[in-house]
Amino acid sequence: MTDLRTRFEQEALPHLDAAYNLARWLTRSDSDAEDVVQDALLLAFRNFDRQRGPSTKAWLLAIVRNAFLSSMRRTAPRARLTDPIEAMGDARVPSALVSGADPEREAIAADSARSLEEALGKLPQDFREVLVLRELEGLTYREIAGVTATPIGTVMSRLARARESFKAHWLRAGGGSDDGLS
Amino acid sequence: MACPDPLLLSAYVDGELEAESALRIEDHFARCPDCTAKQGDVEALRAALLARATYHRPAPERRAEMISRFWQAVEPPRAARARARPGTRQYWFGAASGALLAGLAAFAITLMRPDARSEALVGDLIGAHVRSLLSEHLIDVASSDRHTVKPWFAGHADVSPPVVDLADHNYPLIGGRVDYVDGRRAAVSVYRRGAHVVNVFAWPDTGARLPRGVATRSGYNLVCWQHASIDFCAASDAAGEELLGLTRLLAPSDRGSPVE
Repeated sequence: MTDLRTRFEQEALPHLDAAYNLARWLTRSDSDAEDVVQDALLLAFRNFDRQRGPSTKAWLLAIVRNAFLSSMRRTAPRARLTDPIEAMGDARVPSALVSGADPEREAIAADSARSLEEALGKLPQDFREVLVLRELEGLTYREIAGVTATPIGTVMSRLARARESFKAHWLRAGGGSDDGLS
Repeated sequence: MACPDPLLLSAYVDGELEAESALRIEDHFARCPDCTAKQGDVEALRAALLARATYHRPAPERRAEMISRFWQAVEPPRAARARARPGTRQYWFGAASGALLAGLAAFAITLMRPDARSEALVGDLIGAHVRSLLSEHLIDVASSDRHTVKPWFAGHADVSPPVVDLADHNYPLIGGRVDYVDGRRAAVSVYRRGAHVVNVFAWPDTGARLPRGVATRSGYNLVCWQHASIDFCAASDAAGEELLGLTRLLAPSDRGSPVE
């Protein structure tokens, strides 16, 4: 037991942030994300000694996604349409900001981050998750196929379509022009 | 060649095509400004997402709460389980054994075997390294100038270790950060090796035994050494050999050597 605990602590818990990030992008709420991660951790711990493939991170993310889907089924009757902007009130840390950046640039960056998050939030769940897994978590196609339980060919085409759709939403939300989009 | 399907273009940018198809696409780019622009778009979207989409992390106190709730669900404390049963005798037995266990645990921590403590330290360091990569909190002070990083450590960490820029040896310094290791505020010098980040942790020696040679956990490597009562550990997913290379530069034989 102790040994299992230690191994879980060393191999699975370092991916807690990745688990939370995915859960948060799927649920779009802090407290729902916590619940999903909590369920996923328990499931992961109980199945830790079974086959989990070469990447513990991808394995854990697959469990997070399943936990999210079951929680959706449990709460299905409740309308879960969350305004993506309203859900942004949490502690957002604009990336790549180190102390000493100038406020004006930060304001512009915040504005543009907002339109980008808005665009990502408007995508259907399967597009959003594939973009989060690929661009934010850096998973390979094979790993994404594992996490989403879809064939690699589907991952490929879904990702291409997700990018098209994301680009369209983002341009519409007023972003992208400074980012070299044609 | 006709213009490739958007699907192939997207897979090309992701580096997921086999060499032959990739070459054919590159060949096509040379003759097709349209597709070159589309490729640029996919790359621009990626850069924008990486730079601006929020990487959601639980707040530190929520994170701690989640972990402690998780361990409680996995293994309820014995005292609590005993209390759930009826009967005072069991209650007192449970409470007493719970107290005894708590006492034993505290005792065990102070006397933790050096191996176990070293193991915990390795876990801590790898955990800190992984968190630095997952979150955006890799660098507090971004600078390739060691004269900026070292004084910054003096004001923020428990030690101010020597900082060297090893760009000439292909380990450019990219900045510094403070992290929490073995109960101390460790000074972390951040280097880059190709696409890999190397975190070099430094903190006052607390008597914990450092792991020997290259320690590997979940695909991350760790090499530790000691010098002038400061413990150093370099963590990265770079190959063990590359990490040892950095270690040799940072800890020349006259300034202490890697723990063999």
